[in-house]
Amino acid sequence: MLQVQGIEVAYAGALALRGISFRVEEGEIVALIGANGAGKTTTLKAISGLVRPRKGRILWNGTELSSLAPHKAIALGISHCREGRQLFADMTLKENLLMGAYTLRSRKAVARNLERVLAFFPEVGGRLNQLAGTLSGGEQQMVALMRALICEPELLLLDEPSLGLSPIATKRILSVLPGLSRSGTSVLLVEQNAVQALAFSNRAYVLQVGEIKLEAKSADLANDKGLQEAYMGGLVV
Amino acid sequence: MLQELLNGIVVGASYTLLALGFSIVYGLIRLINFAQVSLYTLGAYLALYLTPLFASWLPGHGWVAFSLSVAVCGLLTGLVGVLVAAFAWWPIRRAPTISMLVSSLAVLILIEALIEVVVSPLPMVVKVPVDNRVHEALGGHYSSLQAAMLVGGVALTFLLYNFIRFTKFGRAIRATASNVDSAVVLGVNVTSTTFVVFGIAGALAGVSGVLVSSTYGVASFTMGEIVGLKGFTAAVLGGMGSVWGAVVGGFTLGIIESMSTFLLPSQWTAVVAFGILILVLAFRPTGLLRTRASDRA
Amino acid sequence: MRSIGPIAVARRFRDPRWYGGAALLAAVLLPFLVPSSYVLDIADDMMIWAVLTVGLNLVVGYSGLLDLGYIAFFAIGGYTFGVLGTKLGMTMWESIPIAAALVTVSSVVIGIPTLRLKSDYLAIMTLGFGEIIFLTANNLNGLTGGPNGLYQMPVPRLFGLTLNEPGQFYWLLLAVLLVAVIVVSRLRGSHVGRAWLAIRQDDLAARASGVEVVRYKLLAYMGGAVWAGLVGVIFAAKQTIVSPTSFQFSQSFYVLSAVIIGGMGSVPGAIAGGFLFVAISECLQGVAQTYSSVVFSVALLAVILLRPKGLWPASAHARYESAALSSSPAVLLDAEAAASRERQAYPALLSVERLSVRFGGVQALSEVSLSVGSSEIVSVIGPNGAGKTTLLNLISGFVRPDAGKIEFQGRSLSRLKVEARARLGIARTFQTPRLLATLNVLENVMQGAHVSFTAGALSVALGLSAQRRRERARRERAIEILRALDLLPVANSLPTQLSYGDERRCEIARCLALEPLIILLDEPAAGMSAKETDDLGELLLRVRSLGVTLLLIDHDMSLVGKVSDRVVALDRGTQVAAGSVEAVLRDPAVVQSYLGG
Repeated sequence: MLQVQGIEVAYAGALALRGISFRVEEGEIVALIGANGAGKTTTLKAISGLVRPRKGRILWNGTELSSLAPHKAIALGISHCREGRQLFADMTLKENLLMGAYTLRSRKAVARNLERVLAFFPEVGGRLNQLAGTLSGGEQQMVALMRALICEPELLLLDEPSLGLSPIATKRILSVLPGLSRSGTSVLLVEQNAVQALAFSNRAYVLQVGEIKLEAKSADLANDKGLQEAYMGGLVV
Repeated sequence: MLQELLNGIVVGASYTLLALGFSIVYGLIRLINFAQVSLYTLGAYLALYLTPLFASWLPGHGWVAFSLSVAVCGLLTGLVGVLVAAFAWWPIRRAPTISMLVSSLAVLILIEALIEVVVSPLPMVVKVPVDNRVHEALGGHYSSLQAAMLVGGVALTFLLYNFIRFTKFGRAIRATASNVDSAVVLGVNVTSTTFVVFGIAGALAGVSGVLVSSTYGVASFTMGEIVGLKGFTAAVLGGMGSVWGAVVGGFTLGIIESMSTFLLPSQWTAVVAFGILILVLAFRPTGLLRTRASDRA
Repeated sequence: MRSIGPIAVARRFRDPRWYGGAALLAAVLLPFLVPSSYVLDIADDMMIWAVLTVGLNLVVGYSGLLDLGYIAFFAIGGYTFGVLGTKLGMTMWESIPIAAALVTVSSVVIGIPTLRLKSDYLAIMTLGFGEIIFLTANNLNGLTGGPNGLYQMPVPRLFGLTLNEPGQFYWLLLAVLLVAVIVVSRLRGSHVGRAWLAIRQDDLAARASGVEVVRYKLLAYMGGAVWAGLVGVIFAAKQTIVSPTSFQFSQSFYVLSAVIIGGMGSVPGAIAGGFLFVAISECLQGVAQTYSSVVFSVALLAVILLRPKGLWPASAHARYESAALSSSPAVLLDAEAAASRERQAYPALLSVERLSVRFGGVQALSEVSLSVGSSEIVSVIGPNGAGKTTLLNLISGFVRPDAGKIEFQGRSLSRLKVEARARLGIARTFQTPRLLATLNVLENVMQGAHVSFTAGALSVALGLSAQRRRERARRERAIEILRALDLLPVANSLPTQLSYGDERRCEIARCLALEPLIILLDEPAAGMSAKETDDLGELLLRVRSLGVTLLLIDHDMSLVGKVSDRVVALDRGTQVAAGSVEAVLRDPAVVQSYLGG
């Protein structure tokens, strides 16, 4: 279980997170939604260690994460699929996936897991030797997600998979989440695309200017006018 | 003519080793690692002591002693390369490039100056306990040590290429060069990866220094300066950050330089190399080869 | 008149003119107080080195160009006199202009191919250049005398006096150093110096403010080289011999170390570094000359690792003092400057037609068209990844389109570079503010006014009065802008000391200083509180009322709704809606792109 307790993060004097707290239970899909600049990406970076909170605690199954070296998070079962895909553009698709399995020791486990993640998105399976930078946006997002899942994480931090993608492509990507959840993987999903994020999650938090404004069951929130308020500044009636 | 070609290929092997070192460090952290040049010199000076020592342990096995000396010197300069990374790069890894360049330069001057103070400011004669015969080939002649230099250079390049291309750690190096944060979240320890790359570059430079000083029989504390410039030229010529680029650049430069002795006295080869550097930078700054992504370091 | 209290006295001690004057007085008195030719000889060397460090400081410290072959220009100067003096019997004075010309030409030949590239290539190129000059001097026996060098040049004469003693060279060198310090300080305090510092810190921000980066880099590289060439001639005359050993790579390294140890970008630091080098070498002379490289490399490493700003760090140049404040009401836009820009009626000030661009496999923008009329505020909205910043980058010239065209005032921009577009009056802010970190707020705004300076570096160096008037006028203008934006209280602060909102407004102030026709704003309200966003909206409306057109990207719909005349919505690189604020925000395609579906 992930427990985030009152973390504050500042970039060059500007406070990006103003003391936020939330939790993710085992096998749960939690959506963190909010407008641009709300602090969603920063929250994920704080959990995986790419930024250090200046206050607060992050507990993962009882272990304190906030002072951990960033490359060690994955060994604890936390996998971070970053915003904008961030593939190794000049390496092949297969090499990208093998990098995802960097922490796996046995060759057998790597081979087995490669098979497993290729089953999620068979449409890119035939292009293992293509350079990742030449794939389309949707395909790159698939590879990024496969790369994050190949190490069998207990917690997947998924940052804005819908970025620049059509609703259909977004749905295709998010459709793997329920299966993950059934097999016990927790997912913390950061999204601007609220409708889809709510459709694929159990619970959601609404983040606004570095603070959590709302926590609710995703199904309840999906029909809430307050959500549109949060996004469009109340201008949509 | 063929003699010059032969000489050029042999010299090209030593440029290739230096170019590889510049290239892999630059590919990873975008730093021209001047300090590497001093490890070339350091390698030659370590061999000055270690080769006779090993020869005295292994009388009658000159080639074995010499090979052992090359390997040990390479290991030692590789270790110094790691130390350089730890003390002169790591503390300022977030500083502007210019600070890193100057720090690397200061290490170069420091190691050279220490050699000058501790050993001697005068050039040293290098003796190698091997039967350095002259062979005939292709209408030219070459010595056993020149052959050793070529074989050593090609073998190390081959090893490095396969290491970077096919091993898990090599993949991690390429991944870090491509996208640092992605490599980090996938579990790559970027600090230790960078240290290892500095070590590899140091070892390549050291081996090159031993082979060159042994082949030509002389070492001096400034021996790295011009050769370092040529190694860098070779790396730029082939395209910074690419293993094949370093190989192509190294041999091309060696051959052009050697051929230029038809036109100019040999003390002007550095001017030729430098002229090539200016032309490449002016007209084709990414190098002669289009960098193939798969062998980028 | 202000009374001179203890604080004012203390402040005067920090004024460079004060200690500069004191140092000059000491320098003038030295030959009378200590008439020893040993001491004066060392003093001569110190001044030669100080001219070198002041010159190199201009290259490395101001412009951030790592020149590792600086001594080559010193060598060219020395050998010019050596060759002309021994072969043609020319005097030192006749050799100086020829040396200056040779140095200028060689710096251009080295500079032009290299300065276009990343700055680290310059380091290796200059290193190579230094080695080549050394090798040439050492090997070209017929011309340079080879390793033995050249001697028996004519003894220089000045006012009927022959210069052959340290005490006589002292005055010449003091004069040269003084001129070097004045010229270099003037350059630093002008738009030229601000452009150099801008390039060093942020290439992109410099270009966006209209600085022609390559030209200014070349100017710095040349400007530094000339001093080395000049003092090289005098050095040869003073030594009465030129030989290759004075121009080895280690000498370049020593000059560089002296600059960095003294404090990059600081003239007093550079002089102190040069003096310190000569003093330490002199002390080591008695012990062991060979240790000097060890000492200097260790000292350099220590400074880089422990005190990166050096012993005498650079300080802000222009400061705002309350006394200079006029009581007239604050004016946001200089009417005169604005009127001088061509303001004809165009169907649209800016028009973008079917613009497309691809990055790798991703279509970032596809056939987007847009037009912005004079004095309009047009907002571009859309979810992350919609291509909004890409659109801004295409308009300001940081990215080139694959297809489509951009016209400004009816004229195509496609062939123009970023800096040329800035000159036409296109200003922009960045998603994360790109203020120049070592310049204070006032200097940042003055740097933003770069394009309004027409004077060349030479008139700056000569201190021509027209140039000085211009500088003063731009300074007052910058203060006006700061006042209008309520930034005066922080005018002397560094950007890192600013609050986020102030930092954002300071970026807008930089844009206004360019006296723009249009400002492209990339998410100016990101990270601002509701109150700050509200104030920002007021400010944008005020700017518009002065006739400046705004193209705004923001996610804050309250800001967009408040200021925009028209809104364009993008999603995944294509335009999904355009029109009035109400219509676009109600458009189902826009709602869906934001909330998803």
